[in-house]
Amino acid sequence: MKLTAFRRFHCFSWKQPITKSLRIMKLTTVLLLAACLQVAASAGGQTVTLNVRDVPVKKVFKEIQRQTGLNIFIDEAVLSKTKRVTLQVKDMPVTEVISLCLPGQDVNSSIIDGTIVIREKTDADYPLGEYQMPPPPIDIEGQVVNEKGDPLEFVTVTVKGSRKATYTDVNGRFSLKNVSENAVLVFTGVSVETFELPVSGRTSFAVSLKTKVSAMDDVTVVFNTGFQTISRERSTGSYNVISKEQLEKPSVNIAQRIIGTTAGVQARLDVNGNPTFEIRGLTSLYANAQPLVVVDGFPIQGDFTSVNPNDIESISILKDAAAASIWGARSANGVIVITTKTARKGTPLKVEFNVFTRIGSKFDLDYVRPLASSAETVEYEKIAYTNWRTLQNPNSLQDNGFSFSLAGTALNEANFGYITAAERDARLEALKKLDNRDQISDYLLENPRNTQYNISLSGSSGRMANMLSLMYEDNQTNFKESKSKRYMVTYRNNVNVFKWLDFNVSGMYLVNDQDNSGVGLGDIQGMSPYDMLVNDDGSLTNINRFYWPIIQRLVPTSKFPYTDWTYNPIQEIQNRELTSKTSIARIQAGLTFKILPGLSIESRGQFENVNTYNRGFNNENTFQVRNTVNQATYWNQTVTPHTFTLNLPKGGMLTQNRSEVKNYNWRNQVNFNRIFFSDHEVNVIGGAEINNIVTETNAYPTSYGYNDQTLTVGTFPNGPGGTFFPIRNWLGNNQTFTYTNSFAYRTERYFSFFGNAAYTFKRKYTLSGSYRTDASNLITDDPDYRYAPFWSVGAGWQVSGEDFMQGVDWVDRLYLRATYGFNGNVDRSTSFRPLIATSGTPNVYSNDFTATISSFGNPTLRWEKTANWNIGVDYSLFRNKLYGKIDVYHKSGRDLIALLSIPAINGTTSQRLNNAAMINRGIELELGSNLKVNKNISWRGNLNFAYNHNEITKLFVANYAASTLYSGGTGAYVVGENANDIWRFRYAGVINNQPQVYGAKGVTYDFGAFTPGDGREYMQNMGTTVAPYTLGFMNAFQIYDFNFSFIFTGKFGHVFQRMGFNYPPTWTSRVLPNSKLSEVMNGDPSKIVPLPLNANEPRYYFWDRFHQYLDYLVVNASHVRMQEVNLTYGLPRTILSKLSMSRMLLYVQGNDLFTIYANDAGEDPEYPLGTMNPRPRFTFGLKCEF
Amino acid sequence: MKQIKYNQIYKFILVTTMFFAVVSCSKVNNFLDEPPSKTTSLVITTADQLDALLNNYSIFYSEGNRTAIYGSDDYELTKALYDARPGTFSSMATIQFMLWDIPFLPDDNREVFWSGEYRKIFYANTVLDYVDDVTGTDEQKAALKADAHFVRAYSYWVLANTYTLPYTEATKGEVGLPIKLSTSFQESFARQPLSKVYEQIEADLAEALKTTVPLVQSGKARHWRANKAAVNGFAARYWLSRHDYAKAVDFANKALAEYSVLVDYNTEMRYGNPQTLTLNSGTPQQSSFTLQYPYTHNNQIDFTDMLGWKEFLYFRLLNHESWWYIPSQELLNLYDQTNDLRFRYHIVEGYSYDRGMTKPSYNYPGYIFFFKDRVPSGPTTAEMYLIKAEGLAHTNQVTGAMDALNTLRAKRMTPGAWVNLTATDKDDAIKKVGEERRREMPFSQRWFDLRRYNNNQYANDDVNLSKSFYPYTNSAVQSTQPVQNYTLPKNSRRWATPLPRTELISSNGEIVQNTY
Repeated sequence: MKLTAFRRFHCFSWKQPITKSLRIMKLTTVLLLAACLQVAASAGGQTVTLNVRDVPVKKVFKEIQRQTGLNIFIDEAVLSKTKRVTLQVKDMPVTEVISLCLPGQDVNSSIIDGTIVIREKTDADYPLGEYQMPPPPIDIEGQVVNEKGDPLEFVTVTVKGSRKATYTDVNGRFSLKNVSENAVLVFTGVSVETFELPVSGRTSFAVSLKTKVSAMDDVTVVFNTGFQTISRERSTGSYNVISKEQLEKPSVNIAQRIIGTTAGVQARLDVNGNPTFEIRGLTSLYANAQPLVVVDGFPIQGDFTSVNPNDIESISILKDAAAASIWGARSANGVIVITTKTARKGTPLKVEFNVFTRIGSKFDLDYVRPLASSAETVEYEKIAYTNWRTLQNPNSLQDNGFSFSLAGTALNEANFGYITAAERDARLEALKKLDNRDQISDYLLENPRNTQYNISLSGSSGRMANMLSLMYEDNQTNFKESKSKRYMVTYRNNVNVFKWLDFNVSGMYLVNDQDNSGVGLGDIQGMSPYDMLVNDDGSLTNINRFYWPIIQRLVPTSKFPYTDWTYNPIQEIQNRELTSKTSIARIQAGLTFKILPGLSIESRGQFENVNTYNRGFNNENTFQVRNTVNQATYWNQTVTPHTFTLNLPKGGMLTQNRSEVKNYNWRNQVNFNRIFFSDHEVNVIGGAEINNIVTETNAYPTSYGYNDQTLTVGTFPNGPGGTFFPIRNWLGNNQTFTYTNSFAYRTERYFSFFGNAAYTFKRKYTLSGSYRTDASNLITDDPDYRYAPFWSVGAGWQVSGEDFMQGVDWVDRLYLRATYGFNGNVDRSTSFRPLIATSGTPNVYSNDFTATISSFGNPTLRWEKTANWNIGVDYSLFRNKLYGKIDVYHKSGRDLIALLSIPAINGTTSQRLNNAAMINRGIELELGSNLKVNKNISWRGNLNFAYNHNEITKLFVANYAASTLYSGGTGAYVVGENANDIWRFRYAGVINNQPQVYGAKGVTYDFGAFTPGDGREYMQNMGTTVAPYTLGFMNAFQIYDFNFSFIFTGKFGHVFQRMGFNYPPTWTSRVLPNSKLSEVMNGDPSKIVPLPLNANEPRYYFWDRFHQYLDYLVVNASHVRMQEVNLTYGLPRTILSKLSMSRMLLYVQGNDLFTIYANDAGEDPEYPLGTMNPRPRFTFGLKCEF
Repeated sequence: MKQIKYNQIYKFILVTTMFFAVVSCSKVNNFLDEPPSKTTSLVITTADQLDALLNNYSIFYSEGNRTAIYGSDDYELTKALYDARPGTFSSMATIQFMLWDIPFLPDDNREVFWSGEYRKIFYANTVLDYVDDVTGTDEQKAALKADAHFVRAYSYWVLANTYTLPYTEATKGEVGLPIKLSTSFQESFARQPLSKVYEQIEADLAEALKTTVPLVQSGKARHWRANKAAVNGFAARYWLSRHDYAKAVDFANKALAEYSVLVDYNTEMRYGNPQTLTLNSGTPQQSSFTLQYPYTHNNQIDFTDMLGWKEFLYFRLLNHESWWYIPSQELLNLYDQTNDLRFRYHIVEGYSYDRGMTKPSYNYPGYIFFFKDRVPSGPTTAEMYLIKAEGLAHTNQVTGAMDALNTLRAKRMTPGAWVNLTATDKDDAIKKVGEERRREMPFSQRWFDLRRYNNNQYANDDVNLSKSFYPYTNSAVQSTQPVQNYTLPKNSRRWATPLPRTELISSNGEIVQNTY
């Protein structure tokens, strides 16, 4: 697909290099026309057929080029003398046609390596008649671009037969001094076909090179580390670059584009498409385990959502020490480097417009809210009420909080004689027939929708290049009233101020307006299946939050501030505004001083500001307000008549909090790139940077009695309560209200030195090294401890460049690399000495300010370090039919911060100490293939596979209670095991009518009390919840103008807990048996926990400490997901030219269409039953370029 | 020409860079000295911060001393009560502490008392480590020092009286406690001899007694911080435990001179929110029962009533995680059930129903003070009257002893002839004071009292404990087996509770277990 896309693209933009060169490159003496054509190994025998009348010669050349696939390279001096020609030839050799086109000109046309070079005959073309003095050497300079006019970096320019060489900079520019007029320049690069060009006395060159077919799959062949770009052939580290075509597909969050593309990057998306990543396993036990995200050279505070997905030029993923250690202390989890698009120098105005809309289906309520049916629920409630219940008398006001279901209420009312048995049965039967799924779907759910518009303008004039993009996005979540709007503006500008000075500035501003007024999944899951939302007459029901008959019988609601004490989610979402507004501004500017060829100094800075404002307004129609005000009212029942004292004003309630992050970076860096004596390439950077991140948060106290129209607020009529001025609530209990603001202010500072050097000999052997020291404002008595040296070394060997490989023609490329080094992680919450945390507000009872010890001291304090080695092979075989890479790595984390057991006499039983160790080792394979059936049909596939093994090798925890182990997370870290393992009880069947689990030494325990002893001795380690094996499989077919692609991802070898029955007792709220009820009813009690076998089971409520943590619920989590299917239609050139467009694509894309699981439970392991699972979504879009 | 220009630029940049490099090197440490947060992860620099640490009563007030709760004869879980609903007593710690278990208790994984007291000691040590280096007035620092020494003395005393043998001439050299006097993790973990522990307590107490902070400030009794009344009150308790009755009386008087408010149960005590439960539901015997609690039961989280209890000299509460102080029949029999208002309000009838014993119903009371789980354990004015009475009785001042006792009784009983007790002689006075002490401070002080009764010069008050219950394992009560008799004789080594095993593991064996 890449191949075809590129071809087409090239074909309608081919003439731009010419016009540009003619217009701009006045000094150019040579013009090279490059065409994108199939490999033309031998051009000599090529012929052309022409029938033209009075056309410019240029047009003829274009046609020759089209027919032969040869580059045509013509001296401007020759071209300027051409006239219009008329030709009629058939199968005439190329050279002859050319001479026909240039009548009367003394030209020499020769075919060199697939290129026809046409120039005026010079002295060199005549035989030497006599001895001539060699001409004086000259200085030359030039620019190298590809077919699209994009500058090519890291193209080596060698003077043939000499040791003089250089390579091109980021703008594709090169210069060489003291070159002989008669020298021949050789241009070589990883991604381009080698090309030779005689200097012929010229001093300025514009060279357009042809992209190698083999490199088309990796259009971006330079890796961006955020500090520099490194060409693939000179890198020793493990990098991945996301292909451009992958980046071009529609996405709301750019991080989605990474999924499935890169071996060793495990991603998980939430239901709204926001990802979390894990690169090469878990590297830190307690510190942040997310990779560092770098945009245009600086780490950002906002996440991926602060990057316009349409603006991305490239994404590099840095995985090993050599790649990432330049990021030092924050790199252990890997680094994701995003580079945004810039306008190319010398390109006229280009407009890109993109619009798409994505729509998904509503939630399947049986999946996200897996409750038993109404009839089953009522039947279960009957048994649960009779046998396993808490026993409350509905006569007591104190029991108002028992929000029994309608069935539970009926059972309880009948039991106490408030209703007859017949009435009870009638109510129960009626409930059995109700089903609220349709109402929930209609009134509370929505189809998730997403519409994005983006327009970008880019172009340059003279020495200045500009790019502007505007984006607008409209999102609707799965829940009614929960939606968001996102606006983004990005501007970038590059100026070549002087020959020796570049200046660039860019800015981004994002506003994200989110409305979260809708219900949450919990609200839906908390309703009985027969809790209807709307009555038949259209009025709203009461989804009672109390034992309703108590309110009706005992509470004089009319005397309370709000008579209505009912709750209904529809009313709630319509009468509240829960909003969150985020704005992110980012400004970056840099100066680059080009001091000497190959040597430059850069000074760059970035300022970022992230503001978040959360606001929750509930008006007085909400239950939230009515209930709060009513409950705060003191109902004095000891006097007659009763008195009702308002302790909160009536009216709306407003909660607000704000946070602001201010982040600046300033970096000064020296870059040096030189080739000495042709064989010695040196690439060095070094510099220093500072980074300051300040986070301020501010929470306001709730404003009671707030009126959104008049902006008036109420006061506490009797004060906020407390020991010295107590106030009581409706039940006579004491109450207090928060009435103060609270503030937090955090500062994160770093100061770093860094350096990176690479040396390549004969373009075959590369040695690299990096060093970085990061000092942070962690708290220490000894400033030396702040500095953490991280370093790496690496070596690379271009095996395919060796002489002995020249005969092995099935190997196109073979590159071996090995690296070793350290990455780090920082925890700034501890110090050698104890630290405290202070309260921002006085204690409400004592009116004192208080403080707690936040850290008991960490005498082992240092930086977490991960030693990291990586060995890799890059290969390309069988004329690029098969290409890819293999990486093997071993990461060994030491001095990791962990919560370790220490004797309690130290004030705490556990303390964060730098005293744990963990390893990650693994292998990653990437395999790509191209198959071209014919000119119009081709296939490209890419398969990546990764294996990771994680093990905690050092950690001291004295004792693991069973409950700590089964709860997982940091408490379940066990030495010798994978950090992501889960532990479960072994179910032992039923003994004495009680389900049992195995304890130590085979003793069984029932579910009535916690099991004693160390859980490691008797619980079962069920395996890891993070897949050790991951697979990504991308396929792309190009069939004429259609492009069809799909991505599968697979994760294997891990486990997850499927949903089991929830064994609900009648307790203080609704009894909600889930849809696994029948599994238990029909199950074998020796294999699955049955419903209680005793009529009276007093500790049934305690069973939840066991039934959720049994071995049989843990099942295989392996699955294969159809991540994405995309069909794109590109309008053919003929139509495009009529529309004066350069490109137009129409596409339809499907995401999350289906998943194949290895478990029988029918659950998606990443989104198990009862959680929000992404439903199939379809995207329809249009992209065009002018 | 061109070359010169480049050189100029180069020099300019070089100089500028070097200038910035030099400037930045000297500034880097300043740049990095900025604290990571203004409210969390703070280095201690001011006396106000240390004050804030000690103000945090939530760290200090709670004592989860299960040895005290279950170990004495105030607590009794009978076979009959257990059989009525075993599920209520599913925590094995209940059985093990009640029966003075040795083999299984070290593995109990809900230990909070040992670690909790050492956490308080850490806070105190933090204050003492920093107090000389922080900014603050000398007066404030003196108060902080006295406060920290007081916290430490108090914690070492309760730890010693729980995990070590009673302190006598004979046990001086027995293994005591690890003594931590700083915040360093490098200090020795080893348990020091008992004599050293008591020397430390006395040294800390001597420092604490230097406090000049009054209990009542601006009309508020600030009993969550060390104060003159608290320190003297604890000194009275300490010397009573050391059988120095003269000193005990002296300190009790000093405490009372500072603060002597008693809560008059006749006028200030009242019932709180009632609770109605259904008994034997679904059976022909179905009925309703309404429990009456003292008002102090109302709030679990809200501290208004707890901090508002007027008798505290120092705010400490015994905390019972299983929510049922089961009064023994012996304790119940001590009360005048008609006229003693402590019985009326604190002995809650039918509390067993609240604990789930409703079907079939089984009626047994519970001792309730604050919510279901907490009873006062810090020194109170009531305790001062009792210490004074006991000290006077032992020094043969019978009338004085009875006067002190009756001052308290007047606030606890309905008015009548039964209020004022008289004693015939020293032994009678000691007996009557002991009984009143049990009525006034069940569970919280009884364990400590038994330890001193059994080790003083006075033999009449000795108590050999015995309980009968089913045999048990580390995980279950063997209720099918016949009931056994368990005893704790006065000279048993089990008066020292076993240490949690995690301590032995975490210290690599440096902390040793008690020997039995």
